[in-house]
This record gives sequence, C-alpha cells and structure tokens, in this order.
Amino acid sequence: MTRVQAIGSIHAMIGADGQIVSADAPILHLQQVAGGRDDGPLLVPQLAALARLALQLKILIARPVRAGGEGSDIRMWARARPHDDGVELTIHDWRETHVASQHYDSAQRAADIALAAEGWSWQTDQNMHFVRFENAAPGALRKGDEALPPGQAFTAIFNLDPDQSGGNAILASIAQRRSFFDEFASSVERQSRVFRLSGHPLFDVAGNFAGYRGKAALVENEVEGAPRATVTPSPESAESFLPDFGKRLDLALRQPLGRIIANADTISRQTEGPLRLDYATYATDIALAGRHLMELVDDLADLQAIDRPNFQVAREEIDLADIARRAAGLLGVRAADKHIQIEAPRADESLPAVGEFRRALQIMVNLVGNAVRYSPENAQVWLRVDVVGDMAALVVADQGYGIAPEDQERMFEKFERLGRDDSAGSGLGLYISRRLARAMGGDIRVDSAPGQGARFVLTLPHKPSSAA
Amino acid sequence: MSDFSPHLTGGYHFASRSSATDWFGSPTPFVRHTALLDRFFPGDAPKWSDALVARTRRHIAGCMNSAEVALRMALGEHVQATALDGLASGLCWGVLEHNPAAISGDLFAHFRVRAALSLLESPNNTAVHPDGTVSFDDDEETAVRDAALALSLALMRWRDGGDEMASMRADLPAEQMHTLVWITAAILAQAIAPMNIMPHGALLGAIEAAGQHVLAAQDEQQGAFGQAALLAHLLHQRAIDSTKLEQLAQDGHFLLLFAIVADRCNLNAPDVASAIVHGTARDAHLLFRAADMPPACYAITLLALRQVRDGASDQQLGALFDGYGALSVDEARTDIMPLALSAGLRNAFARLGEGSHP
Repeated sequence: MTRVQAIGSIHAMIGADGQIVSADAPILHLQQVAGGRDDGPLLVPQLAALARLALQLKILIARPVRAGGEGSDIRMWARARPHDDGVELTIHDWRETHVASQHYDSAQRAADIALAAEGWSWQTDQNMHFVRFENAAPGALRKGDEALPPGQAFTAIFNLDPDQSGGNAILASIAQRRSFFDEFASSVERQSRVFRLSGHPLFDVAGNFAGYRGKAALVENEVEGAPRATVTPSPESAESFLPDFGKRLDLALRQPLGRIIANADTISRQTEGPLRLDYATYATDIALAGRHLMELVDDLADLQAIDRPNFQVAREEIDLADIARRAAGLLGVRAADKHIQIEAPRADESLPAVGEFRRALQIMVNLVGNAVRYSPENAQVWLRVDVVGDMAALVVADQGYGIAPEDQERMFEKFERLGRDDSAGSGLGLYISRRLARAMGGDIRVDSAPGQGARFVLTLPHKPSSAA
Repeated sequence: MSDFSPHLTGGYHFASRSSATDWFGSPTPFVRHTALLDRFFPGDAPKWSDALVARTRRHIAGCMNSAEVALRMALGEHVQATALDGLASGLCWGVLEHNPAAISGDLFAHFRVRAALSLLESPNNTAVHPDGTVSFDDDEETAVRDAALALSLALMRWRDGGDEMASMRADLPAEQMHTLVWITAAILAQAIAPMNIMPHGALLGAIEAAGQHVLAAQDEQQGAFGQAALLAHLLHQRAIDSTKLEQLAQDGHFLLLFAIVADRCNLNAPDVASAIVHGTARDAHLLFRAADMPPACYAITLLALRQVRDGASDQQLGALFDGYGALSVDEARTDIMPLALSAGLRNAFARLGEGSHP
C-alpha cells in the first residue's frame, strides 16, 4: 500500500563549500537519514548534485528529484538558485510514498520460506541461551526425542571445541557479533550427528546485542540400528561425510552464495541507509536469484546423497497430517501472493506413518510448492490424508494446467522441466522427492490430465496407532 | 554596418595567440559530434528530413540571436552604449554558420531534439490532430492547470517557423544554456576585440561578467522541457487512464508524453526525448513499454516521427505495433537501465564504442 503525503514549500541554504547553512526540518531529516550532520556538508545525493550543478553553471536549476527517505520514496520539485555565497534550495510538492515496510516483510518472509527446507530455525538470547528451536530438531539433537527446554545454553547443545588450528569459527564469530555461514558442530548428546550451522546476530533498537538467529541442518543422517560413526566436531571431519562433488559444491558455492544473499538482503532492507526504490528492488532480485541458486545447490547435494548405493533414511513414527499442515504453513505466504488458498488437514486429523520427518517434510514442501507455482491466481490447493491398504497416503491436489499422460512419468526424471523455460525450479525436485519416498518404503504417484489440475499422492508405510 | 567578416580572416583572433590554446582549454573532442553530423549525410543511418534540418537551423539561429541580444544588453553596463552599434545584428549565427564545428555535439543534438519536438507538435504533422494547448482545465489542482498552460505557451514559441534570424526565446535546460551563452560570448568577444573600444583584459572581464549576468537571469523551469517535467511530476499521483494518454498523443502533445514516460521510469525528460528522436523504433518501444504506456501512444509517435526522419514502412510499423505487448514492462525496464546512468558514465561507454557496455 502506498500512502502519499504532501506538504508545503521547504527551504535550505547551502554554502559555496557544500555545507548546510540553514535548512527546514524535512531536509535535515533526510540529511540525518543519509548519515550527515545538521551543520555538515549536504549528503542527500540528489539534492547535493543539484546544488553543485547550480553552483557550477551559475544557473537556476529546476527539476524533479526522487530521493530515498527512511522507509519511503520522496518525490519533489526542487529549485536550486545560485548566489555568490552558495545555493538556495526551494522544494515544492514534497510527496512521500511509504513502501519500505512492506518490502521488508516480504523479503523476510521469502527468506523464511526459502530456508525452510534447509534446516531448523533457532534463536538465542543475548546470553546465547536458546529461546526457540524448531520442534523437529530435538529428535536429531537429543537422545530419546526429549523436548528441548528453553533456556538451554548454545554450548550445551552444540560442541564448540577447538579445531586443528586451536580456534573455533563459530565462537570467534559470536565473540565479534558477526554472521557465520555453514560452520560445522556436532551435537553434545549425539556426537555422531554433525550439523551445519548458520547464524546472524540480532540487535535491539538501541543497537545492543540481542542474540543470534539461524539455521541448523543435519549433515548426515544416522540410520537406526546402524553402527555410529565416530566423529569429532572439526570441520574437516564433518566434510568427510560428504561425497567429493557435494563437498566441493558446499565449499565453492554455499558460503559465497550465503554472503551474496545476506548482503543483498541488507541492501534491499536499507538498513545501512536510504536507497532509491528501484535499486532496493534490484537487491531483492539478487537475493531471490541467490536463493534460487542455493536451492539448486541443495538439490544437487541431495542428488549426490540419494544416488549413493548405500543411501538410507531414518525410520521413525511421523504424522503425515501434521507434515501436511506444516508444509501448508511454510508455503502460505507464497500462496497468498497469488491469492491461492491451501486447504490443509484439520488440526485434529492424524495419520501415523513410518519415515523420516525431515525428508517427508522436504517432499511435501516440494509437492505443495509445485502446486502453488503452477496454479493460476485465485486457485485452491487441497491436502488430504487417507489410508490405502497398508499405506498412508497424502494427496496434494491443485487446479493447475494439468499434466499430459505421456509426461507423467517423464516429469520424475532428472532435470526434466517439461519444456518450461522459466527461471523457477531446477528440474530435480520431483526426482529427489520420489527417490526419498521410495527410500522410505513408499512412492509418489501422479494422476492428471491437461486442463484438469494434478493430483500427487505420497504414500508411506502406515503405522496404525496403538489405540486402534 | 560592420565590416566584420564571418570568416574570421584578417581580424583579431584569440587562437592566433601562441598561448591561447593553453588559456582556453583543449580543442573540443569532435568524435561524437562527427558521428552525429554523419546522420545528415548519406549512409545507413536514418536520414533527417529536410524539415528537421531547416527547423534545427531556425532554433539554433533564433536562440543564439536571443543570447547575443542579452549579452549585448549586459555588456552595455561596461562599454559605451553606442560603441557596439557598429556590429551587425545576428553576427554570432553568421560566424557559426561558417564555423559549425564551434557548436558542441551535445548542444547541437539538443537543438535537433527541440526542433524535432516542434515539428512533431506542428499543425502540419498529418499523423496527429494538434489542438494547440495542453488541456487539464478540469483538473482540481491550480498548479496542474497553470503548468499545462505554461507548457502550451512555451511550445507555441518553439513552433515559430518564421524568419531564421528572428530571435527565439532561449529557454534551454541549464547545461545547454551554459554552453550556448559561452560560445555566443566568445564569438561576440572576437568580433568586438578588433574595434579597440577597450583594453583586451577589460574586454575579457566585461564579456565574462555579461555572460554571468545572462545565466543568472535564466530559469530552466520556464522552458518547455522544464514545464513538461513539472506537469508530469504534478500528474504523477493521478491515475491518468489510457484514454487520456492516447488523447495526448492524438493531439500531438509529445513533449508531455515523453515527460510522463521519463517520470514513470525515473529518467530525465530531455534524455527520453533524445532517445526517441535519435534512437530506433526499438528504443521507443522499450521506453513506452517500460512506462506502461498504451500501444496507441507508441504507434502514433512512430507515425509522427516520419516528419523528422525516414522511418519504418507501413508494414514494418504494423509488425512493431503488433509486437508491442510481447515485451513485459519489467523486461523493458531492465533494458532501459543504461539511460538511468549518470551522463558521465554513459559518455564513457559511448567513447569506448558501441556494445562495450555490460
């Protein structure tokens, strides 16, 4: 939503040396937003350029100016009249259009969605005690699937022991209040499980350190009943879990991409100062493109993992209805952008099945994400759970353009995009999802016809509830 | 009448002094200028119409005469009132006619755009049905009505196709006015120097002061470009519908249309006008599409441009018109990004050569 505010004429006097001699409050506010002092050199770039031109040419300049304010774009008609001792600025028709807050929210929510499949969210307070850890994590972090109580110290959950050089990258980053990306740490209680951690420092309105928020992704799954590998928390040993190609991808791409995304987000949110709206939009585009590349890196890393002959997944009791609701929640904002409604199973519905929670959620995010991506605006996506024989089934039905019968098997092949040339998707999602489903003893089937929408069915072994 | 020779032979000439080049800077780089002049001569580039060549001469001569008159009046404070009576009127244009390289490429290009706009909006342009005034009579805001009226008046002065030597108000943007005043002042000083009415140093000081006086009196907002930019700025918050935009095109109000395009794309109105007049149909397509203008505005503009340069055939125009919507607004905005760069950077790319920019 854009709000327009118009106020009367505004004046400023700029000295021949570029210093502000006097200025009305709106210009001084812009000056402060640009990082300048009230009596310092004029730092609002567009107005400073106008004043310089008037001084240089010794002609009255009268032009439209668009400047970036604090959370707003400001359009104005500026007149710069040169004098012997400086330039007199007169601003008419000052119009503020507030846009930034909406921009910020969408970027933030997009970031949350984009990162959802990569790992679990966590957040600490200023003492590095957890205040939040996504529910999926405890099973991977702690023995006996105990809930992670709030207030646990970061160091009580993750090993931050010195590496071979005697330091620890995560600790060093935290000490300096810097972001860290893709650093490795093992679980204190389950040392065989190594996590890839990323975190961003948080600051309160006064600029004080307020904790960290980040992601934790399990690097390697522990297979139930399989002997545990002995791991140390050093990055070198953690990387040894990865196949060569995946390791190179991670080292070569993930970290720089993470930094590109973080920097582009910083620019687009204008946290370092005001920016013209179109430049902020370009930064958003860069961040989105970066996330797309990060998804591709994730897909390729997954591909490497599942194509290995000894690839296995955990077998734990999961609730497909709960997973469907989580996937709907994760993709709710993306769907809302296209006015698409996702109808998830009711809160009291439950469908026990056997599989790995994270992988099942990954599959559902992929299926529901495809349904949202390829459905027209104002459409509906239905998620239904059912039991078919000894299998639990989760159905994702959409009102998209449908899939021709001859394409319905082909679409599960690697890099198959059915002739689409848009930038979204790598063509690996369905291939990976089906491989994951089959590794868990299930499958993914599709039922569709052109113009009739599509119906994807994820099946996993059904685990009848003990009460039944 | 003066015996001043426009050929500058035999008279006092600053450049004849051994150190003059050092004092007055290096010769203007003519590379870009030459490239622009090439369009007046046979080659592959579109040819300017005879009407545009004549109208450009009219604008340069008229504005230069106007600047010369203003400079002479300002000089009156430094020399005896009758001392300059011996100089012929319009002498600066006479000198320029015989020494056309003295006008900078940028100034020449601006005059060509200005002349082109006056032809586009001319009653003789059969592609449109000019109604003379830009009308926003029913607008609730006085500033909008005033700016529309001021724009109409400014453009009316541009359409003056009378005697080539008659003065025309030099309502140029600041950068071009700066160049025009100083080239006119330099020619005037060369003409006055042999008259020995004042010492050399005093003459230079007087001509400098006169030039500053003329520039100080200039207000670029009063020019047609300034008024068009102001009106587009004031109209920004209005939901101007396609019907109104098409009506503006049909009525031949191209400068306002170009200013609206500039406002919507965050560009300068003179840059947009220059890109459309000097560029290809594809350039106009990108700009109109980036501004989300209705296709009819694009089509009418292409038709009207035939008045100033040879353009696409009817068949080609049909194809261009049909393909207007094939390009998305976002794609067009990406493609016009170079126009939003600073002039210095764009000129640097131009000097590096076509296609060298990223």
